[in-house]
Amino acid sequence: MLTLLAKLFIALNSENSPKQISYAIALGMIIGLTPMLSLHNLVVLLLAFLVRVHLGAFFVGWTVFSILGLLFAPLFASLGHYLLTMPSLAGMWDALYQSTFMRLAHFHHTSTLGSLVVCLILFFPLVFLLNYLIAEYRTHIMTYVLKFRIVQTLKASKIYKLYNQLQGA
Amino acid sequence: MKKYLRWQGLLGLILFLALIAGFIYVFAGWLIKTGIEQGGGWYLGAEVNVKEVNVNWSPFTVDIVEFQATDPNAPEFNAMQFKQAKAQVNLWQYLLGKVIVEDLTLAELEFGAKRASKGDVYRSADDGKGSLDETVAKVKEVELPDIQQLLQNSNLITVKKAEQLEQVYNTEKTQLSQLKDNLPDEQKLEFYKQKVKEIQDTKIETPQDLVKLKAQLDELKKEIKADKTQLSQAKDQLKTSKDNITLAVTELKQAPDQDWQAVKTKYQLDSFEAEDVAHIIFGEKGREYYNQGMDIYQMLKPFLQSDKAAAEDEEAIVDVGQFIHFTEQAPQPDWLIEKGLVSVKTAQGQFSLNLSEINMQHWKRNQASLIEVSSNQLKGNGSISGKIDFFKAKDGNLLSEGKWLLEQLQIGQTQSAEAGETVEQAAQSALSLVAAKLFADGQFKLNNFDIDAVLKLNLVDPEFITNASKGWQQKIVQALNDAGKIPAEIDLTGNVMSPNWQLHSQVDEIIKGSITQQVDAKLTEFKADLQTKLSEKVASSLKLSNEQAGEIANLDAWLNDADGTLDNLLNTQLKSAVDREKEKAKDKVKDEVGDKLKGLFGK
Repeated sequence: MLTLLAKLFIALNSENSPKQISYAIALGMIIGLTPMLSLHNLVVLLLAFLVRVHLGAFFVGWTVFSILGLLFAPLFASLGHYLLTMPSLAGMWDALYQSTFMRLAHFHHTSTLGSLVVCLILFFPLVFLLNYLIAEYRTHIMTYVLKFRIVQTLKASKIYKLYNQLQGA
Repeated sequence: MKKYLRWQGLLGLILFLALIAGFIYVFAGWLIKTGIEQGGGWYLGAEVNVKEVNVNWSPFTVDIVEFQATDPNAPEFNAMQFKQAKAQVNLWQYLLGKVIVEDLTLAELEFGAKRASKGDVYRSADDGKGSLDETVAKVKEVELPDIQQLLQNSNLITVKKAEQLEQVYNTEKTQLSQLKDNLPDEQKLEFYKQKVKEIQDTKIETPQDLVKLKAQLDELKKEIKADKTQLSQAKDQLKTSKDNITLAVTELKQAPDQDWQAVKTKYQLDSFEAEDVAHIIFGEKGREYYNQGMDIYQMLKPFLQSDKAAAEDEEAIVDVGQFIHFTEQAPQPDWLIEKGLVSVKTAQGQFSLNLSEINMQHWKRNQASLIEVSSNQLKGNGSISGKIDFFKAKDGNLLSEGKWLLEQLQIGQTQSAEAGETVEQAAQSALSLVAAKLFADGQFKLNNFDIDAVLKLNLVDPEFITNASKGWQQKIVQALNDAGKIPAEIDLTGNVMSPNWQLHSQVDEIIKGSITQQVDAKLTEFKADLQTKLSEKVASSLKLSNEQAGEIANLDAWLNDADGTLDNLLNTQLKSAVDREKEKAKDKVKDEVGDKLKGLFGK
């Protein structure tokens, strides 16, 4: 938990742009809320590692949303079931079902589809919200927080420097 | 581009994925083993053990070695165990959400085998068994009761009714005695007669004499009428008493028959029919197999349930989600065993099952499942062959047919010995089958869980033993042993979950033809003895009743006599005496008037 908070703190107070952090958390949301062993999560992982998003924030997002995912799992399964059994969408599902990709991606699984749909709907609103919150934090709160002795000690530590180097900041 | 992408991240991803893949590759066996043990334990509610799981990646094959699932009802035994199960799974279909087992080999599948050590039980299962054993035990424990002991039993109706008769008589007698004390006796009747005579002989000289006589007459009439009222009340009471006593006597006379019916019911003297013996021989074993089959069905139920039933379980699935399948060009069922070979080990020997197209969504591939049973390694050079096919339509209708033939299966002694039961121990039971050769053939049809099955059995050279001390029970066993062969037929109809059993056996004939008569004779003798004793009780009560009835009859006669005498005094003698006195008085008045007229008018 402390490591998680430290990662978040480092991310918020780093030189990274707010977009790098917010996209990272949003990608972490997808992998956290949807069943982990799904094909789309391979794409999410690829994006997280390949695109210059903040990896620390990505893992923070993954962890936090995994916990939330457990709470909302029944809701996602119900939504997925509703969509997959909706008569007006039956033709579309039938057509997609003939594609191996859809079946391999488990889009015909209620939890996978339900959670992914929720994640896709929330993705950009979450990015914009986080952008705004990070900008606000850096303008109004960060200077005050950086004055804490504990924060100064943390920033002076070798671990912090090494972590920043690994981030490619 | 470099501003947005970090290529070293891709390397990191590849390393990350390789790490996961490596972990799965190395620990796949352990992961599956843990999954089976934990998941199986959770599902069954008892310890599940797997020695090891080996995974081969091409073709993808899972090899489970020494699986044991503890029976939660009897933790020292396994509900199911097998030595090895090897399943070749279509990995591509598995990734698409279907479990297609292309080839399955299951070696030494066994039910109810003893465990090396007692397994842990996580939750107790409902038992619901044992009632059959209790029923059989009840049937076996047929003992005739002791007559003396029965007669001492205060619950016998005869005893109660005899006591009731005595009580009724005493009550009535008390009431009648009280009435009798107030009734006119012989002396009083003589007194009345005397008085009437006196009145008749009275000479009336003057009108005052007449007035005086009338007063005497009125007094006497009043007394006689009062006594008559008493007599009338006594007669009414006597009638009531007679009715009460008659009712008590009738009830007492009926009591022995009622007692016999009660004794027959209590000691099951009617229930030890030949059919029960047949159930002991065939029914118990048949039901045991049926119960075992139901246990296996309950374990496999989640895999066999219909789409409708699955929809009912939706609430349970909602947490983890489920696959929704749509129309496919080449549809596959959710799970399928394309072909398989299962060897089953039982106390009777080893069977082998050839499986083909085992699944519960037959409409998808339009092929029925087929199971072929065969063995020539059963006890006593026994053999079995059979074939069962089933097809489940999309609407949930299950159609199935099967037939089988069993020959020369050794049952009884060997079986008991294997179960750790010696012949001496078996003989502790009222009736045990020590040895026999079993021949059987049967067929069934199942249409949407309605079963229609016939199983014909033939026990050849049966050898029964008994610990029964009664001679007639031993003779039943002797007759069964002498029979040479005992055919039987079991019919099952109705819902497969709770079928109606009908058992027809020649055991009925064997027993009815030879031994039942002896049993009947014993029962008849017993009945006669019991009824004689009961009749004695009735007779002694009735004898008392007869003496008392004599007293009552005497009283009745006396009352009638007394009543008649009083009537006679009142209506005849007393009336004539009064009339006579009146006539005398009239004549006298006439004479006096005549004399006076003569004096007036001369002679």
